[in-house]
Amino acid sequence: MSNAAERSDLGEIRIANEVVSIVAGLAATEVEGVAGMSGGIASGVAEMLGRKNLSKGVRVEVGEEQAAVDLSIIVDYGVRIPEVAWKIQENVKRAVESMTGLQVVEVNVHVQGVHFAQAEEQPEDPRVK
Amino acid sequence: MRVMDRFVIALAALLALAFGVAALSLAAGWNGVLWAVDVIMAARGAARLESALTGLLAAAVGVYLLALAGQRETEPGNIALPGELGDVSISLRAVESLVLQAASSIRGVREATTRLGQEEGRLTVDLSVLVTSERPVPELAAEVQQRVTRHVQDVVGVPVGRVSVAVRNIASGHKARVE
Repeated sequence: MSNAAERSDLGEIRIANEVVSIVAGLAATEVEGVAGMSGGIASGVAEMLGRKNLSKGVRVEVGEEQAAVDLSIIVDYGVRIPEVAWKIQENVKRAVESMTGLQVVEVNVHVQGVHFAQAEEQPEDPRVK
Repeated sequence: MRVMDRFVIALAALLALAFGVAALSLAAGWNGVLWAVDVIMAARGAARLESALTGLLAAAVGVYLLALAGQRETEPGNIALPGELGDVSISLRAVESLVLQAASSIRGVREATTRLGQEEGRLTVDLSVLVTSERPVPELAAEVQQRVTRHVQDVVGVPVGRVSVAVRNIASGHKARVE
């Protein structure tokens, strides 16, 4: 696992990829219109076994001073997808930069699916009551 | 599903059926099956080729079906929206479910399936619908085109080039009026 390393007079500070992933994942799910992160089959199985995976659907590349983030998300039905994606990019960039001090060069958002809320899914009122 | 797949599945079903019938008749106490096995064993010299062929066939079917089951559906691709902070990509599968949602919420559409593509930065939608007979089809098709175009442009933010609607069939019978 590679880590971001910073040198200060007192010693080295390392930030693990996992930390950046969790920060990015939380920042992304915070945004309104995001139904959740979309992990692969493996993380789905892990989740069924009861492991909460905070970095699901997040892939990061962390260098010495910079970081790049890839996010796989599922959006709620009814939102404007590009707007949500742009908000995610801003929010993730802000969160990662302020919490880790790394410069975020890019945040790629992959929208994998749309989530239809069960409660709102009433396409037609019954004609007879 | 391709013809080949159908054929192999039918073959597998037949093999399973034969095996099941044999096992059941054994359980029911009918020894004819055992007798058949005896005959085969006795004539082993002659039946060897046949039994080898049957075994080979069964094994091949098994391998093929396993491969088929393990095969993932091919991903339909993505729509890419480049941006300053990084790319946004929207999987066509997500757009597909939006299109289906928009189409099937229209009165007169019973079922819809769709296939999406991209041409010169525009989205193309091929819809196949099963309609009910409560509305004139041209009117219905026009509404489907309008709604799908508007919905996708609103939600995905990508221009829609064309929406072709194919009416696959007209459903007989009425929707349940009371739930």
